[in-house]
Amino acid sequence: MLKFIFKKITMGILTLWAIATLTFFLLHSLPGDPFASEKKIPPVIKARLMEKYNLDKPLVYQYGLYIKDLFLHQDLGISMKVRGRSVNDMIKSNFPRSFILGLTSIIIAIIVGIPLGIIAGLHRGKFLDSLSMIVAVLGISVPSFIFGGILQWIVLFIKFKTDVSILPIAGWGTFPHIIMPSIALSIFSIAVIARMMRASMIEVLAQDYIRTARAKGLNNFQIIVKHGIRNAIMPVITYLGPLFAAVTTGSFVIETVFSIPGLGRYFSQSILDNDYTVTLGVVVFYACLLIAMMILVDLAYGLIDPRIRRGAKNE
Amino acid sequence: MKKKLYLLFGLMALLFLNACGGSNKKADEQKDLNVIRYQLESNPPELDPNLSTDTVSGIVTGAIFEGLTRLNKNNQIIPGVAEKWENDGLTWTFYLRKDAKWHNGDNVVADDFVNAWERVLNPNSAAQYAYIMYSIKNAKEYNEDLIKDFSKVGIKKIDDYTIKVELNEPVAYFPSLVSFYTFYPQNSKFHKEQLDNYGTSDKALIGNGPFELKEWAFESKVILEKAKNYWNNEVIKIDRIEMPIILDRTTAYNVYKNDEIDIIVMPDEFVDNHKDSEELVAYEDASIWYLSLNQDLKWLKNKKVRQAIAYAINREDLVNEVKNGSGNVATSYVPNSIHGYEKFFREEYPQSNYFEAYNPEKAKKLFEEGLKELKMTREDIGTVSLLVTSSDVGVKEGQFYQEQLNKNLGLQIQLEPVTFQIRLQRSQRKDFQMILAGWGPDYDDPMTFLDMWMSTSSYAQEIAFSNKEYDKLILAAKASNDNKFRMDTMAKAEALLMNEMPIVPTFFRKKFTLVKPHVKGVVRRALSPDPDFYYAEIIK
Repeated sequence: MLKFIFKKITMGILTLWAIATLTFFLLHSLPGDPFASEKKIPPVIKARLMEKYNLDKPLVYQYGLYIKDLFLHQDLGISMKVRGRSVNDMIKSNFPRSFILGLTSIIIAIIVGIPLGIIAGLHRGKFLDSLSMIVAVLGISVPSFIFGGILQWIVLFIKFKTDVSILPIAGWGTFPHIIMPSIALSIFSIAVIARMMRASMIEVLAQDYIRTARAKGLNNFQIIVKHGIRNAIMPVITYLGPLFAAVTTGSFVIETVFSIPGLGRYFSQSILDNDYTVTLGVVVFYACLLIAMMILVDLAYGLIDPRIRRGAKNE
Repeated sequence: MKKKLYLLFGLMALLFLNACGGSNKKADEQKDLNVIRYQLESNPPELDPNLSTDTVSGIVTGAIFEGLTRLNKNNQIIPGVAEKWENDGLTWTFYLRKDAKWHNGDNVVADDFVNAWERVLNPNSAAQYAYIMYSIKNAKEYNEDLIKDFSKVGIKKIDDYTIKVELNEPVAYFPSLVSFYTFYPQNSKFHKEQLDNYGTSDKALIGNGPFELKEWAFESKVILEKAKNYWNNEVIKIDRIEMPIILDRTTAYNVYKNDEIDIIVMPDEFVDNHKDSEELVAYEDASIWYLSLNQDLKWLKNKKVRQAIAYAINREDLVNEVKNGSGNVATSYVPNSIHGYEKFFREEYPQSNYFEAYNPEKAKKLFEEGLKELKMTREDIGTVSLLVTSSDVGVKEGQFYQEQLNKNLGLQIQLEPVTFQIRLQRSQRKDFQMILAGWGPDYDDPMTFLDMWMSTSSYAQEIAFSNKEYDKLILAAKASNDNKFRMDTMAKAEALLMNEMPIVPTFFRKKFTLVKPHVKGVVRRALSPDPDFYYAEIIK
């Protein structure tokens, strides 16, 4: 088991290094620099600015500095656009908001998606199944910001008719602020979870041990809940890890539409600003997150499914 | 399993409580306060006014700092920290008031300005706007590290409340120039403690203006409060300014409709909904937008061809249809809101004297004549590339020019939308045929628009424009202390520019904002500070 964990972590670190390297060189190949402006900066001043941020050094040297700070000190550097702003601090203050947004949307997705998938699986081929799957397809294909826009429109419509604002349109800081963006963000996950649950239910219900349970005389409820759902939910739960990571790192459109000061919104802005350190820092952080999630999921799978554990022992 | 679930729920509850900032008390406290909620369109990247270059930072620093002079409701220069000033040839003397205070109670003294300006010019600061001080004796040399001794620079403290500035050349608009944020003072004691940290957070900044910086939550919001010890604080009617950072214009519009904010930038698409509303406030931002023509290309070397392009663009349609009213027709280079001798420059030297805003027949005639002189045909010219910034606005305008030049001159135009960075790069490398460009003022005088086309300037060199007569006129204006002469001379230079037509001006930009009816007196202007909350009040 320990060997398993050690191998996973080593692979993870190597992957991180590869991502950091690739992103570093890709970013520096983009045209322009953080200080481009319409008003011409006198060459002397421009030279000083480039010097301050080590942009005048050879690229490989800059790369070496970056990797050293990253792996030895876990220091992602200073923003090139906002003077003195440490990328580590920026992630520390902004990521929790994206995290809460992502977490809330996953919880909503679980609460809505799993029952939806179960119903679809149980009534396979019938009307309820088709209905659930239409909802699922819509959820996967329609971008989240459209749902966000619809929700905002509803609030404004109510305000227009009754002069009451039932929810804040945008921003962050109180519980009402979380409601609309997390619902909008959850739609995609609801669809994915529902489809997975449905497929899983259908597969499980066709198993021999279900037939045995029926033959033993257990009632429908016990068969479905105790044996059916409990087994069908396994693959869905293990998928939640990467899904959560994907949703949390991909929330920048919702963050922009709802003006949430999360990591995603800041990240997309940094690319436009040629703010190398912020862009690189967020990419590395996201990569870390995803890699960590995947390692956890691998471990969880091993723990939860005894067949995998036994298989490992036998090795 | 149950225990783990409880643990999970407990963790989630903790996270929620953390996220919920608990800002419900605010609503009750605010009922008695005069609060303005203003949208910031981005996170201010630099709150040290001596180093900042962008307009968003200028909004905040303009409220929390005060320079030697400031602008009143009518954009005229009035005393700020300096209660009076004198001009004797190349020397300006500023007399500071004795009751101006920093927000921590310290007096604002001459050293605070001298040290701040030294820091701007110090090459180690790499201040991008240091060039704005180059009219001061030896400022340029000090900034370029050719002189190491600051005492040689023409900025002197005479005593704690007197500053003497020596210039290289007469600058009639010097009092206007020093109202700009690069010239703001710094609390010298405080700066010595902060050094490189100065301006990097709300704890690392002390201002002397009508408002103080209460909170700067990075990427989230800025909060200002009325400064208790501002020397003129009895006239300030606003207690608090909340500035949430809202990047998306449509989101800001929806937030405005939900009554959660008082002033926003209005997205062009929704202007028609508010055309007759008193909430729509439009103002010129004193920027000129024009087509830049690369005169290294044979066909653009001909003056008649360039003039033809100017006549071929229907500016009324551009401003009304394409820009939805967010512009004024421009057949000149200096915008309407720039001051001239006594009134506005454009009032004293009307742009109708230069050329017509649209004349397709004349355009065709000039173009044919030009082609004949060049001994070229349209086929020889080929497809013309028009470089625009890849924003919705840039592309929309580009398509309009494409259509107009095709319709009226038979030119095949290919639109090339590129990022701002790439546009700058290609412009610097002269890798372009036509570019859609804009220019805004650094100070309130026509010179900030006109000296960029001198043959020695890199902007003129990029388009291969060089005119000795133009250079002579600009230098004559720069050398004179007689403001009437300066204005007349600059008008002559502009007339020459509009005849040679190295660039084709099309419109002066207007900005649309929405302002809730209970908020009055917020001054909007082209130069910093914009907006200005000095004269604002809430009507209950």
